[in-house]
Formats: sequence, structure tokens, C-alpha cells
Amino acid sequence: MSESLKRELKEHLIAQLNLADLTPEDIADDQPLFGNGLGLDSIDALEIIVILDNEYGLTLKNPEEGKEIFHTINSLAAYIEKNKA
Amino acid sequence: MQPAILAYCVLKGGRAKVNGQTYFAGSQVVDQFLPELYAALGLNYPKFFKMDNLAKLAFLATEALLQSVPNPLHANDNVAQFFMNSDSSLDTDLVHQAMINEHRNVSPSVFVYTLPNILMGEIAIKNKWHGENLFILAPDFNVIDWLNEARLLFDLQKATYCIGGWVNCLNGNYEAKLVLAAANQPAQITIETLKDEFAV
Amino acid sequence: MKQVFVTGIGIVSSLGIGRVATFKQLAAEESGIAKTTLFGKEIFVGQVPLTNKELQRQLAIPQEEVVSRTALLGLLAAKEAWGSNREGGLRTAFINSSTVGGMDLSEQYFSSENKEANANLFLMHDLGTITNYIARSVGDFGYVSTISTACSSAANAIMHGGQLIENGHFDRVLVGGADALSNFTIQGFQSLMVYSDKWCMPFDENRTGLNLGEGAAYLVLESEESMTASGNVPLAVLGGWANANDAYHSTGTSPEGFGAQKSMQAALHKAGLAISEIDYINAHGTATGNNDSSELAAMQAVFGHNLPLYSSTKAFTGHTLAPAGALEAVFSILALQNNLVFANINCATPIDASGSLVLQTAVHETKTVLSNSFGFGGNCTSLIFKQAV
Repeated sequence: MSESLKRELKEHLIAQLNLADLTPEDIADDQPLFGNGLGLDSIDALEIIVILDNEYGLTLKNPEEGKEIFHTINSLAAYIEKNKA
Repeated sequence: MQPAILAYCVLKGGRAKVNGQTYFAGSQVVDQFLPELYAALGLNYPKFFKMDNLAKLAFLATEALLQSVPNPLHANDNVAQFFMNSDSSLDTDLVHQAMINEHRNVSPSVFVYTLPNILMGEIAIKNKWHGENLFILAPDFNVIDWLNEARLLFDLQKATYCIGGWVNCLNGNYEAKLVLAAANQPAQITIETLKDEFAV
Repeated sequence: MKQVFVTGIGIVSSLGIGRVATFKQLAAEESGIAKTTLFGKEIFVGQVPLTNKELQRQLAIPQEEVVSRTALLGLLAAKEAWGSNREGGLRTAFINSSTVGGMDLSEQYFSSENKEANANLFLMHDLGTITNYIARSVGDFGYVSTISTACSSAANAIMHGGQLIENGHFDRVLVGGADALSNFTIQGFQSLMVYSDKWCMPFDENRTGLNLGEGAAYLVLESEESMTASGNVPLAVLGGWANANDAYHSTGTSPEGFGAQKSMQAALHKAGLAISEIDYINAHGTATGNNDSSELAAMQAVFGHNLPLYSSTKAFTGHTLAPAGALEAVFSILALQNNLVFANINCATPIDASGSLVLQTAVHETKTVLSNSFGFGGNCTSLIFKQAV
């Protein structure tokens, strides 16, 4: 999996989700993004859906699908690499 | 019974004044002032950075007030919130509208803040306050009107504390005038002082 | 403490214009929601069946006057509620509410070709401007106020007005709210992924979100002494009210519906009623995954296993945002006046197996009704109406 994609994703998350205190180095590739991990919530999940569309041209119609895909940076990057046009 | 004023604060022009004393002086630019004040208050609350400027302003003003009193009222169900402003959520409405104008995907986290009462939700979440919360639009702030509402809440026994006041933010212009009032307690600040301080 | 009576009701929604037309649709289980192309997209929405031109004609407002649809809907409903009330030496107030305000006009500016010529579209943007417009056109009010607390706004206006009368500050208060549809809000709700691409299904296992609606509704509240002076007759009693904050999330409600529990319990306490005395609950029931399960959990926590009959009427009107609590107050009063409970239409597989969900409009002795309205920001309001004796 592309390291640059993962780094890029971390940068997008930090910028779009207003994770003000964090740098990409603070986010581990396999760290759970939701719940106790990075502490993201349901609105953040929706913002990630917007990032996927804006930056990678991928549309997710059902937020429920997002739960699996958004589990970690690894799973997010895997989804993008698999589905990117 | 007249509500007892326990504390008040003013956030304006790069300054945070609590009970008449300058607590913090920083940048006049809202995007810098707010995170600076957050740091000055010693807060550790990452959710702050997701809020819009109006909510940040109200949130910080509330924190400043609570830090100035012996009992910060955490998880106290007898606290009511009552806020007013004239510019509603226009500051963030414009951001949301800009995305629509540019035919971009609108941002759900921006849209959430296109309602002025969300700031009370943020304050309630932080402080675990389940009490009454009211938001009114008015052309300007009359602290006597605010105190009358607090008194009504106390008379109807809906709350024993009322926190809130005026919080306006639009295009970089910001102003917060907050009061913490209580029922059945000795007043720490006179109404005259409050009127004078808020008139500036 | 003075008792608070409802002496006037007015309503405009996708069910039609006025309380008579509205009642007819409710009783016949006829929804006002339809699949429509709006702002370039096909959506299920509850539109008021009159254009702005038609509304202005009905209100005798010159066609060349540029008026926000929110103000037009509000004025139509407020006039119906106000009826022939006169100043009559009574201390009278107006508590209005809205979230959209004049956004329906303002947003037209941005898509207009000649922006300079259309700058006047902003003149009615403010919620306060809408309130003052309605106030001026309806009557003489000693106090005018505008509440904006998202989807509980009008319910809070009703509560606030009730308090002013109970505490003797005012004799008579016009309370309610109005919101027109706007691209601004439709796009916003779609970005939250809570806007269903089907006709909404409140309390249904397979629900996929809400449909928006537009409308306005108002009540006239009076004290007993005021009624003696005005000659108005009571249609219902506003017996209880309460507001609480869920303190959980800015848009989502806690799984146990804690804020809703608090507002319902406090309203019951205010009304001096036991849980067994509520005959019908008009639920907030927006048909989002989150709201309906939270609200059901909250009702079960408050009422136990013997839930009163309850239904959501949002599959009739759509979610009208600020005025929802006033529309549903009118429905609650119509239920009391006619001893009916209204159907929770478009629900095939209820999430609640108790049988308390009203699936068909039915005759039922309805002496007290509890109405819920929950807004973003955790703002939870419950109102209780009783039959006027």
C-alpha cells in the first residue's frame, strides 16, 4: 500500500476534521480512528465521506458502509486503492 | 426575587475581562484570539477546534466565568443556559452558502453550526448540563432583559443558576458579554456595575 | 400561578391551508409529502400547495412586494390563529420562531445574474425581520421576541408564552413559528446523510431518514381573565411544558434519549400528571435511524411497559424544522377536540412491538396529549395539552 497515500490521508483528516493538535506522525496506520482511538465521531465520518468524494472521486451512499472502511488509515487507504478510478 | 450576579465577563477587541479585571490580552483577530484564549485558560478539550467561531466564543466565555467562581457547577442539573444575539449563525451560514455557490460538496460539520443554539449544546456537553436552554434573537443586548428571564426561571423553580448573555460573531467582529446568576445566594456584583461594564 | 388556555389555532403545511383542511387530511390519512423536483434535484418533500404569488394574493399583499415565503406562511397561519382578536386593553405579546428566516430569498441572490439589482433580496433575511413583519401585520404587541433553537423552536415559543401568562407578565400571547423550504437546508440535511430518498417511515425498522417540509402554525394563549375580557373560548389547556438538554452530541441523540426523558418527566411534573394520565403522545418521530430509536427508548424509560398510544405525524407533513412543535401542538389540540389519535402513516414494520404505535387514525378518548420536539444542539422540549373542560 502506498505510503504517500496514507500520509496524504492523514493530512486531509487533520485539516478537514480540525484535529488541531496532531501531526501525521501522531496517527498510526493501524490505530482505530473512531471510539477511543482518535476519538472521531459520526460527523467526522460524514466529513471523511466528503473527503473521499472531493479528493478521490469516490462516493459512499450509505454511512453504514463507512464503519468498516474507516476503521483505520490502513483500511481507508486500501479502500481508495481498490476503488479509485 | 432578583437574581444574584456571581460573575460576568466580556470578550472583545482581543481582551478577556472577568469581573472587571483583564484576564487575558491577545490578538484582536478572532482566528488568533480564540485559540490564544483557549491556551490561556489551560483547556484540554480537542472538540473545541471543531467548533465554529461563534461556538468557540461562547464556550471560552463560559469557561472563563466558571474558572472565576468557587463552584464550577460541573454536572449540575440546576443550571439553565440563556443566550441571545443579533447575527444568529450568519458567520457560518456564509461559509455553507459559499460552498453551495461554488457547486462544491457542502460540509456536514459546517452545516451543523448554521444554527445559533448549537453553542449551547457544546457548552452542555462539556459541562454535562441537562437543564433548560433558550436562544433568542434580538437587535441588541439589554442585560436587564436577560436578568428578567433568569428571574423567571428562578421564580418558576426551573433552575437555581442561569448562565449566558450576549454572544455575537460575524466576519471577524466578535463580542461576548456573559453573566452567571444564581437564586438564593448573596450577590457578588451589582446590577449597576454590570450595566456600566456591558455598556462599553 | 395562572392557568394557560389555548383560544386560537392557525396552521399552514403540505396538508393544506387552515385547521379545517388540515384536520380533513389527518383524519383521512392523506399525506402532503410528494416526490418533487426542487432546486434541480428530485426529493420527497412536504410543500405548502400555494406559490408565493398565490399566498400574497390571499394575504392581499401587492405582487410587487418582495416577501420571504417564511413570512408569508407565517402570516397566513398567524392570521388564522389571531382571528378577530382586538387590542382590548390586554397586555399582549408575540413569540415567534424560525430557523430559515428569509433564506429562501437570500439564496436566490447568489444564483441571480444581476446581483446588484437583486440586493434587496437580503432585506428580509433576519429572523427578527420576519417576526416584525408578521407582528406588524397581525396586531399590536407590547413585547415581540424570536426564538431560534432548531427543531424545538416553536415548542419553546409555546412554552415561553405559557410562562409569561402563568407568571402574570402578559394576558395573551401569540406563539408559534414558520419555516419555508430552502436549498440551504436541503443540502445541509443531505450532507448529514439523514435525508431519505424515499417517503419517510417514522418508527419503521427500515426507515432511512427524514423528508423536509415547510409550514407555519400559531396558537393564541390566554389567561382566564384575558378570556373574560376578549370573549374568546378555550379550545384546550396548555397544562405542562419543559425543556432540557441531552448534552450528548450536536446532532445525534443519546441512545437512551436522556434529554427527552428529562423533558417528558419534567413536563408531566409541571402538569401534575401521572404517566397513566397521558392518552396520546405526538412524537417528534423524524424517521431518522437515531431519533426514532432514542425517542422510543426515552418513552419506554418514562412510561414503562404501558406506553400510551403514540404516533409521529411527520410522514404527513415532513419535518418542518422550527415550526414543527407548533404544527404538532395544533394536531394535539385537534386530537383533543375530536377524541382521535392520528395514524403513524407509512410504517409497515414498527420497531416497537408493544402495539402502542397508532397505525390507523382511530376514535379514542383523548383528554391529555404530550407532544415532543427535539432540536439539534440537544434541545429537547415536551408540551402537554389537556381538553378544555
